[in-house]
Amino acid sequence: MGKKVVEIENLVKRYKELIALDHLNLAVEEGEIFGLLGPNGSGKTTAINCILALLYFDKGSVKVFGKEMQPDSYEIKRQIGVVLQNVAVFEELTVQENIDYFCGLYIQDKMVRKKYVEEAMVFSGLEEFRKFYPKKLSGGLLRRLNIACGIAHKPKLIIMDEPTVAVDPQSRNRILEGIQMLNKEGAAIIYTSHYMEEVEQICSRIAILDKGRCVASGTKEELKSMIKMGEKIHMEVMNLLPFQIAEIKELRHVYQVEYQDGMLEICCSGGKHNLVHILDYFNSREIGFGRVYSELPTLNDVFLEITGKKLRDSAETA
Amino acid sequence: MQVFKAFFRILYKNKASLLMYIVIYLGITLIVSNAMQEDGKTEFSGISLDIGLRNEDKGYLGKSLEKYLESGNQLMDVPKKKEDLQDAMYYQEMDYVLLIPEDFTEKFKEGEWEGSLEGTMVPGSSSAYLVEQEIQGFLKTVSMYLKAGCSTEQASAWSLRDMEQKPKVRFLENGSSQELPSGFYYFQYIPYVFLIMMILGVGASMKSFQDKDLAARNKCSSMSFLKQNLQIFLGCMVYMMIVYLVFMVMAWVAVREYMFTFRGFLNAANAFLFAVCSLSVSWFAVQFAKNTAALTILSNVFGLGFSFLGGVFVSLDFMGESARKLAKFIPSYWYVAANQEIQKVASFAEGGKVYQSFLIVLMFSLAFFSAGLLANRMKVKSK
Ligand SMILES: Nc1ncnc2c1ncn2[C@@H]1O[C@H](COP(=O)(O)OP(=O)(O)OP(=O)(O)O)[C@@H](O)[C@H]1O
Ligand SMILES: [Mg+2]
Repeated sequence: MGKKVVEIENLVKRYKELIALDHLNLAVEEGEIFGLLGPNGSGKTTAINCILALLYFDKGSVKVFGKEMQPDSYEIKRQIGVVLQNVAVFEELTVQENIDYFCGLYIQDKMVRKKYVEEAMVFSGLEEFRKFYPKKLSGGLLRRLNIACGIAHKPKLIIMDEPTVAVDPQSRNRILEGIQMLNKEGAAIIYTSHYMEEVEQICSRIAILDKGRCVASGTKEELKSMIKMGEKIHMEVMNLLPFQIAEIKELRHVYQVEYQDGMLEICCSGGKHNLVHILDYFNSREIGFGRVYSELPTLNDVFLEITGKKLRDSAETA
Repeated sequence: MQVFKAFFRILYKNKASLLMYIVIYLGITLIVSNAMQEDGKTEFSGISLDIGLRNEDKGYLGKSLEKYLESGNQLMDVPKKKEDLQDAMYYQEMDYVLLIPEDFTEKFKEGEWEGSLEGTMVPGSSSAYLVEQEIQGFLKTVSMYLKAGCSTEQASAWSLRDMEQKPKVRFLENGSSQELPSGFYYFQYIPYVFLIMMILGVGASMKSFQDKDLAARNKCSSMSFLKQNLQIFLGCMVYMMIVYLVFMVMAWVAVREYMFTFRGFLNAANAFLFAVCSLSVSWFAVQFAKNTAALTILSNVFGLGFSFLGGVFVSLDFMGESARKLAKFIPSYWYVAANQEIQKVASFAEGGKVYQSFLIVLMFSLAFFSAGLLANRMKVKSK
């Protein structure tokens, strides 16, 4: 276990009657990419704003680098880089001036700053656009600028709130790779998203939020092992009869079968050789089938099982 | 000084429109002060007006009024018939037509002369009202002597003598057209340009820093919030000083001698206080601007609004009582008041009223600053 970078205990945040955070507990350790996964309105941004002392909360405590976080904890803030959900750059400043401005809030030394700004531009692939004003940047480039402004001062903790919203796949991959690179260089990262594929791809540990509560947390393997589903098998089968479906349901480990438009979906809990058993069954009954493939559970399945609802927007990911 | 630097970088992006206002301003003042000065000079050199006159008065007074008008003006006969009269007015280019009825002296003695004189101003003649003032002035003097017990003849004679002696004093007292130094005109229109330049210049920068997302990001940084705000404040002050100094340098170029008089000094102080006040107003206005376009509109609303209502462009003498009452709640009114008062005082020591206006402008600055602070708090809270 590494040192704790962020510790949230029993955090409660209310907006009048609405409870945005409901006794939230989280701990982020050094060197990890910590994913906060949750649907729209689950409280991700609220949690992050509480960590950053941008919001007052009603109950609980937030510690960053082992110290209580306050609005005037400037020494702690010096170590933090933020990329908030909405793009926040100066329209009137160029790419380079923007990065320099935000870097300059942390780094006074001009030479060091110059170097850092240059590195941030290379990092985000904005060198060619240094003289551009934000208005002239494409959506993806703008997001990259937004990130560059947040990380130029080489913080030890980087907090990113949905940095890839509305970004084309190419830019997105670049951003994700960049985040992994920052992590390799030693920064702990808190990353929120409602795109589970992203979170699954880069995060070493994940907390799933729903309605302001942390419903599950752990590595993605741990999360997946929490749920019943161990494997999902898809088969192309024509004209399957109801009694046959019932028979499949009786097979070992199978706990749910769905059949629709010639596609059979079989959920199996744990165990090995599920596919073999199922194929045996089809052979013995001499039922023909087309393509067959097997899937391990995704975080979407985890979320679905834990909360009983689907993660929104997950289908739109590239 | 990151914040300070960024403040000016943003401000600098507006340089084109800011420069434009300086040019507009210089244009206005140059034109106006030239035009006014020429006007003033013609009055004093006593260029004559063309007055059509028919005197039917059987008494003595009509004659002396005629005599009075004759000195310095061109008198000409007018026909009896109304239609012919109008033609004559047009073709002979008269400025004013006066008909003195036959019972004028009688009525005057009884004190019922008001309305018995029939004067017609020719539309479009800018100097016609001067004639009316001359007539009124003369008759007032005569009636004074009459009241004192003089005979009509004596009153007329003395009045004639009096009026010839002090025409200039009369103009000054009426205040309708006195010769003012071009320094006066240089400073008269400053509220307009200061308000616009402050709101446009400082506004764009302040707007950016108040943007919700940018503010959040700035707050996350390791530079203290106080330090950031101080730098913005400093930026505002420096910008204000720059604008002020630019206008003082231009004043120095345009009306150099005037600037070295005590009046010039008072005007400079007045302008400085109004610069402070404009900055305050701009801080207030920014709270209501959603974006840069709104800022441009607001700058005009405040710039033009305060200028008209405060009597910067059009003297409040020409406006109604209620407009004048309203004007007292507008800082530019006090600026203009001070500006005019400065021309009347003879030394620093006499400037009581001027200093009073200074103080009021200063209080307006405080008021707008506080109101802006309040609006800002409310805005932050509602988010
Ligand atoms: N200023 C506010 N006033 C009132 N309610 C708020 C405010 N900010 C957020 N909320 C509510 O708090 C809940 C959590 O919002 P939050 O923005 O933290 O969600 P999120 O997980 O970041 O969602 P998204 O994926 O859309 O960014 C939502 O129900 C939201 O409507
Ligand atoms: Mg959010």
